[in-house]
Amino acid sequence: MDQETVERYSKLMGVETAIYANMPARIADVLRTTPTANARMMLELFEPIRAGDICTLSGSVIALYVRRGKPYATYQVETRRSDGVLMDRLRKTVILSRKELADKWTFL
Amino acid sequence: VDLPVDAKSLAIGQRVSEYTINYSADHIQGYETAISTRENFHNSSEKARESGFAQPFASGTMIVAHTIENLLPGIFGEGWTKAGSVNAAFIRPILAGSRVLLAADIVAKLPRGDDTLIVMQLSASLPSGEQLIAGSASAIARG
Repeated sequence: MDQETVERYSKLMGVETAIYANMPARIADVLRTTPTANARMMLELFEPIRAGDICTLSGSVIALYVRRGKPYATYQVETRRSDGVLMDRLRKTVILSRKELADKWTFL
Repeated sequence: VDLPVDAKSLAIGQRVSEYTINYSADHIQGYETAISTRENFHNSSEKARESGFAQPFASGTMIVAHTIENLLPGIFGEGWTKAGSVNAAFIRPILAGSRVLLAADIVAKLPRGDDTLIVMQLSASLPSGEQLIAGSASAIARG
């Protein structure tokens, strides 16, 4: 986690020092690899990330299912600092077909 | 762990915090720029249309980000930053120009060792009262 990212994200959030400046990076670079749309997100916090921390993200798909005719996937991603400390655990459910949302949100 | 708030000072039904977010086009764009260099349906009209949407809209994760950074750390301190959780289902999209009230109301107090787990209902609503998420959050308070 570099200082520039922390400062930019802190400014965006309107705080002196952001607690989880790694969150957006994780979402963008790890989970936004396929065209999906957010349905649900659960995040557990264990240790704030600091500038200079080197972290490893590891994740897997833990569920694939169809609900009300829509295809969903649930991912779980954990962030660990280089000393092994668990920083956070993210569980995110996405709809695999954006068309389902586009058809539903016709007001957009 | 530094727990600044005493659980005895918190009551079920109490609103512990609220925070207003102005989802300006600049704010949405700033968030997307911070998280990705790629164009997507949150920051590009063309990408939005390709996905079947008439216009871009804010990422639901922005609500989670504001919950983490703005709504609860000032109340719970490390009871949030080192033991907090947030769980949100995204109900409706947030369009540029929206003014959203993010709030946390206590729904349960559960013993956790010598301390207390404070469980909150998390809401995000437009001025019309329309809810944008169904969510919850939890943090640890002293005692």
